[in-house]
Amino acid sequence: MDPKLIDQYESGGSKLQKAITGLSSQDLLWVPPPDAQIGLWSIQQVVIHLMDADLIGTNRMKSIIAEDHPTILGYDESKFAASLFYEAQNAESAIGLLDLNRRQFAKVLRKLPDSSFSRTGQHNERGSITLGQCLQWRIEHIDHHLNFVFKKREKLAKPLKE
Amino acid sequence: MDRKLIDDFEAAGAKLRRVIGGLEKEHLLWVPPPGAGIGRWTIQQVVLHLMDDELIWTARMKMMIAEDNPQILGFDESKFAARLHSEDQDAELAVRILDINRRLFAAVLRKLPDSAFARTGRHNDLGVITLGQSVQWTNEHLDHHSLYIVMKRDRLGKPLKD
Repeated sequence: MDPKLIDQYESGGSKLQKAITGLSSQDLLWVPPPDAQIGLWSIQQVVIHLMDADLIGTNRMKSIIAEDHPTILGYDESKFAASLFYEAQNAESAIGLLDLNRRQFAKVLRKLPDSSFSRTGQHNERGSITLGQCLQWRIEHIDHHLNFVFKKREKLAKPLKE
Repeated sequence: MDRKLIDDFEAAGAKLRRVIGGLEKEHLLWVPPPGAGIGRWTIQQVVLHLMDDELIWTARMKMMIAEDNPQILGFDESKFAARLHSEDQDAELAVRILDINRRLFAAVLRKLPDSAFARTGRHNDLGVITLGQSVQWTNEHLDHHSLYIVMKRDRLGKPLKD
């Protein structure tokens, strides 16, 4: 287990915070045109989705650490985005929660021996998954969505400044 | 649906912060003697348990709102408390996570029509449960544990001041 992965996981909140810097609430709520190939969700929907997915991801990793090969159930992220008032939630608070939750859980991950990252859970759609994979997916998940956030920013004429 | 339940739900983070106010690390990590009738967990374990439980119940409630009668799986809270290194965590950070999570989710609950609180999930241990029950249980759960924290404080000679 590469300890850098835990560092990357821990810094995901700051990365997300940086990616939406300087955007107004109008920018956050802007819905991309369907044919623009930059994703259909507003940036705000992406942010709240990342928070929801992260919190569920942490619940799963905790179960994999604490229980023996627990059953893990998938959920419908499109229905979450459509039913949980993503447009009315507070994006700043959502990033704050994701950030603090990752910082807290990184401390748990750092206490684990390498062997724990091979612990498994049984996902009803993906089959057997390991703690190490879950951690990697969490990191990649933010990166995946940030690529689209950057494209949306360009379309909004608000490119991210280095 | 009594909307005051949502106010109580939202205010619980502040309540928990108050209940552990003024305690030092040694108090948070003090293990109550068996047979004292004040619970076996340290105050820190209780706080981390509340955060873990909270995040799991929020995910369940989101599923009940977004999906139709979703399946919900129980988890082993004793194994969570024993294996997630709660003694090395930061209780104050856990309270902040719980607090922000409740504030964010209270905003979602307030947007729902009364009828949504009758939405259901199928829990493998509890049977059919509703969203309204889940809000109420989450509130009662925190109150239940707060009561034991207050008893532990008395025993530590650090009673909660009004």
